[in-house]
Amino acid sequence: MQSDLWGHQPAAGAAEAERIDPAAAEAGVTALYQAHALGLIRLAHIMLGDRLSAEDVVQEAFCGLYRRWSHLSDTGRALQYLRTSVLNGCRSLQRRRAGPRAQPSDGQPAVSAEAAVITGEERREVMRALRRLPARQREALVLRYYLDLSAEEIAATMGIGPSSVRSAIHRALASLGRMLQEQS
Amino acid sequence: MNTLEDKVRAALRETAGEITPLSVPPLRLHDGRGQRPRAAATRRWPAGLAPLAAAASVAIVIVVSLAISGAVHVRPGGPARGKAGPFAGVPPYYVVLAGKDPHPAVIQLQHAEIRATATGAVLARVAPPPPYNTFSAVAAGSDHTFVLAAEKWKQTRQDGGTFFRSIAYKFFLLRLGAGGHAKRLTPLPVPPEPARAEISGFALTPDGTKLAVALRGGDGGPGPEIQVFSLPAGAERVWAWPGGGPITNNAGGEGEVLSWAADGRTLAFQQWVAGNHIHLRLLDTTAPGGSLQAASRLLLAWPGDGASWHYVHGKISNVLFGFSAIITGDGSKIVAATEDLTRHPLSSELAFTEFSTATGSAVKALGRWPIPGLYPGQTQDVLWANASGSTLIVLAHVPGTPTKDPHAINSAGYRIEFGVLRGNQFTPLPGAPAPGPGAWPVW
Repeated sequence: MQSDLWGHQPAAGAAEAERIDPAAAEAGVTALYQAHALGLIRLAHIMLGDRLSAEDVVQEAFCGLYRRWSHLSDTGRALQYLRTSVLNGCRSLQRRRAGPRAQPSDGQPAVSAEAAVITGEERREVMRALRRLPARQREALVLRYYLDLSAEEIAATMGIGPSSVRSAIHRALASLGRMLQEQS
Repeated sequence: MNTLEDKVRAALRETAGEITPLSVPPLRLHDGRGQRPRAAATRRWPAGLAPLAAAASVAIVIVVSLAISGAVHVRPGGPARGKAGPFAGVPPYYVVLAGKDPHPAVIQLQHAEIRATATGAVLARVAPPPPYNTFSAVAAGSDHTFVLAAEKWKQTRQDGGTFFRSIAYKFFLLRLGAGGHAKRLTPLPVPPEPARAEISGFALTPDGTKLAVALRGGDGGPGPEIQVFSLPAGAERVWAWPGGGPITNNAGGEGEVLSWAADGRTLAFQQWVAGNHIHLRLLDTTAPGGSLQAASRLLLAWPGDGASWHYVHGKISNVLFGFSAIITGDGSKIVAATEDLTRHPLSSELAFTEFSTATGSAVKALGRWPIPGLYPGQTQDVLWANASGSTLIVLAHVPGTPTKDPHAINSAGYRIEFGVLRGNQFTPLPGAPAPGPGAWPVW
């Protein structure tokens, strides 16, 4: 199952921008930004562990949507497109970070009400382990346990089959458990 | 905070909470006419970083519909099986499913490409015959025989979106002629599965007389069960395991789930069981249909989450994880992609390990690659083995310096490649597709 977001093939680069109805595109993209920017930056922050990079990735995703707005045949699928764009952006950035074991900074944990159920150290351990997973497993796990998407929704977002999603999640949990044991 | 899932949820929620609504920056659409809005010198983006989904979602392939016997011959004449050199003894052709976009971000309609193992050259492309419009999976029998699962996707609109829904599928037997030409595409007399069934794998015997199909089970669908169809008659024998773990592999949904010994009698399959353990079992397909548990023998059990284990790689005796695994043609070994961990000092070793099907003991490790520390991800897979297991076609990490190659798909930054492994000698397959989210080649 897959979404067919675009009605026809877009041209690339500047030629696309020429065909944008600026008012309609800006209004549509701005409305989406107001509704979803927070959630998408949080998603990117989870993937990257870096607030500024997360903001950049999300801005880039919305700019991409803006450039292609005139080709959008189904605005109802825009959120899925944005999620896919953000995940792709995170993946690209992670690939460009140097070193085999370079891990994004976890930063200083914020004190929150959740401290009652998971300690800061536990959370850092989970996030460290999560960021060591292969990209596909990490993305599937985050989409499942952070966004609570179904296997079918995750499949559509990631561009893989639902069975692969289930496999990736299962394997990710197994690896996480193993890594957490190693860390303990 | 009892389960790992609970911990993951809580950790993700807390991490997300570090971004507050007030910290969201304003949207900047007009800097550079919608180009990169913020040009930080220390964090530059490549100019071509357009969201892949946009490119891929328009790449719904309109595959030219071909008659069943039809195929587009791209290059006449393919290489015969080499008698010497790195590709000696390996199948001369492989089949890979491909769409228009080589790096799809969304699922796309796929045709089959027949490629030469030694060069990667596309020898022919085969489209699914009408009314089917995509191939979704492929399995190999012999060097010249493959099974393709074709589906018909129907476009529907619901909930404000447009979806493709599979409304029918069919298995086809693809026979290759000399030079890798698609000789014949024949529908197989295998009945359709219920709509809720999830096929997790299928495999054809080397002589092309039996097709095994695994239904994964779980999630409310039928199974787990294994069906074996005699060809060409289509007679069916079924082994089911109500309440048993899902039949699938431990390779993230890629690679083989089922594999046949050359005698067409023994079928190897993997199963997830309670506690995230992976079991590899051998099914005697000459046994009467009925209980899958009774008709199969547990050979290997791999831990899923860090339990100590007793298999041995050389001098190391600690934890071993098995991933994709296939049975050799002579039925004497299981060959698996493995990861071995040593706790003190903490180190990892990737390898392709052979296990005796008689005893379950590890008998040899090929392509061993020691890595200091804990390896963050395992993406090796074994895709083909010769009769004795001495020569493999694998997906393997490329040892050496990590790369910034965007096609590196593991989190450690190591490139991974398809190649032939003979002993400890790995030879990359020239022209092979980059391992990505799409289907992987099948030999």
